Amino acid sequence: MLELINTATEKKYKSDFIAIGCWKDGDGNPFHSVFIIKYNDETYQYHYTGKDTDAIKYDNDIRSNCFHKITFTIHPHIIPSFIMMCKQIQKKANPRYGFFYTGEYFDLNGQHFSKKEIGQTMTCTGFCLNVLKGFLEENYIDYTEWTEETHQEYNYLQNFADDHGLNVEDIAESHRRISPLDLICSAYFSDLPIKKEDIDSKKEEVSTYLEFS
Amino acid sequence: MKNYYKFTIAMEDTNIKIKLDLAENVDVELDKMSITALESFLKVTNALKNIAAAVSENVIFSIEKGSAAAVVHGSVSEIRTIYRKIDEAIEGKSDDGIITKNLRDIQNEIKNDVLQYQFFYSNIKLEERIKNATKIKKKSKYKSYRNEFRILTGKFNEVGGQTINYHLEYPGGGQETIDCTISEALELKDFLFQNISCLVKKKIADNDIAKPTFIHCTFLAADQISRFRNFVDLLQEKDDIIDRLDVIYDFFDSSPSVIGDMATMLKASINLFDDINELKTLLILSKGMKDNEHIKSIRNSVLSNFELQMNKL
Repeated sequence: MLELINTATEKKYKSDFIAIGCWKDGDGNPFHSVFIIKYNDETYQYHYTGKDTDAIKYDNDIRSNCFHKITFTIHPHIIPSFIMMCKQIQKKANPRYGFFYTGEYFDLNGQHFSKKEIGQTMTCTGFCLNVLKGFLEENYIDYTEWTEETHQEYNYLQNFADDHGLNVEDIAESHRRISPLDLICSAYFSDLPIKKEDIDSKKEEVSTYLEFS
Repeated sequence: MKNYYKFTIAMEDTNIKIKLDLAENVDVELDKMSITALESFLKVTNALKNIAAAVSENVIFSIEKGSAAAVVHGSVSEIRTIYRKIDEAIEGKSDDGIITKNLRDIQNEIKNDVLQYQFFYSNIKLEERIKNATKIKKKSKYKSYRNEFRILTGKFNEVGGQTINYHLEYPGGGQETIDCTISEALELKDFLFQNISCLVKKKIADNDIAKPTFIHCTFLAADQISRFRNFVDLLQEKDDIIDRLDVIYDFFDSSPSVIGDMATMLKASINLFDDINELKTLLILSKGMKDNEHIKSIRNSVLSNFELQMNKL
């Protein structure tokens, strides 16, 4: 009972939901993170493509290599507010400055985030995490558990900050170290913030499933 | 394995039919039903019987083969009345507890992902409407009113009463009594004998017999009046929740004073908004400023209210 569903072929689940999705490559490795949203009998995907223009997509273009797992961190009754937040981010996030974007529309002084020059380009997974972080009152995952060691490149975060003239504290939650596989595994949990050890405990099972399905 | 039910309620002019086609991906047949299929079919059959019996004692029933169907038969007018009662309940306008309770039982089965039902009256198909309807419930006697939102300006005087309220005295004479809470009254007390403007909810009884009542939503500063008037006018035109959320985002996008307007909107939210998505959207919009001194405490109370409502779902 993995509840990991091939998005394009699964038609049986009729209720509205928000799911975490991933695209897998030929070897079954997840390489891209998306949201799958079912609302009023329509299935949508929402994701950051990393392209220069129209980088954030909200569409019905479901891929055959897309798999999703419903997250129980977002109650079906509040899907409309999730969809509207997604559309607002799509409309307002400034591609030039990347997507260090939390969905928190205004800062402490009421200044709109899209007017701020936060120079950080995120991965597709980081984008999804930022959307969840903005939507949920509590942190979605326990970011502090992803230490420097979890990133393959030594001192990655400090180097990235130095390269881009940023404070490391400002980008500490940019989550580049968290992979599409981590994210899809997080969908099995709903006690927030989700612990790294829980996510790790699912990785083997999910990888194997994706490889052979 | 994921479940898949298919229910149909089929109806001709002299009958209304509900039909279970699929249960757990298996075609349903009356002469060999699984536990899941039988349990569900008995529930909807019983509910259909209760709904029909509430309308007429003379109706009769049949159970039909070829999948599994329960059918109520009666005269054209009996069946039409049953249909109207069902329709009213789907629209959330029924105050008949028997109809709403039993239709809700049917709704639960139709919504079950492992079952596939059809539900017909004549050529009218009801299963999609029932599935998409919000939880079917009896219209409260207390909710036989509609709300309008108004901005009233007048001289503020006289706070008190057995139920807490204040008076706004119009320049040309006449006054309105506006219900409020103690903390709202205390917030306004410094304006005694001055002209103020407030956003209020006007509750108008559907029967037009009871006098309209006014409920305080929030005090408005002079520079907020036209923005908020524009906002509530737009909001009241929209029924769809997505459209209403759009109006909220547009309001804050064009606000010249986001903190002040947010504090005001959060205060008004308890009386201004009915849908939990509207509260959630305010919480998302204000999350970045949750530690601001003007926002913090009112946002916390809106958050508690939101969480209370979520826990009830």
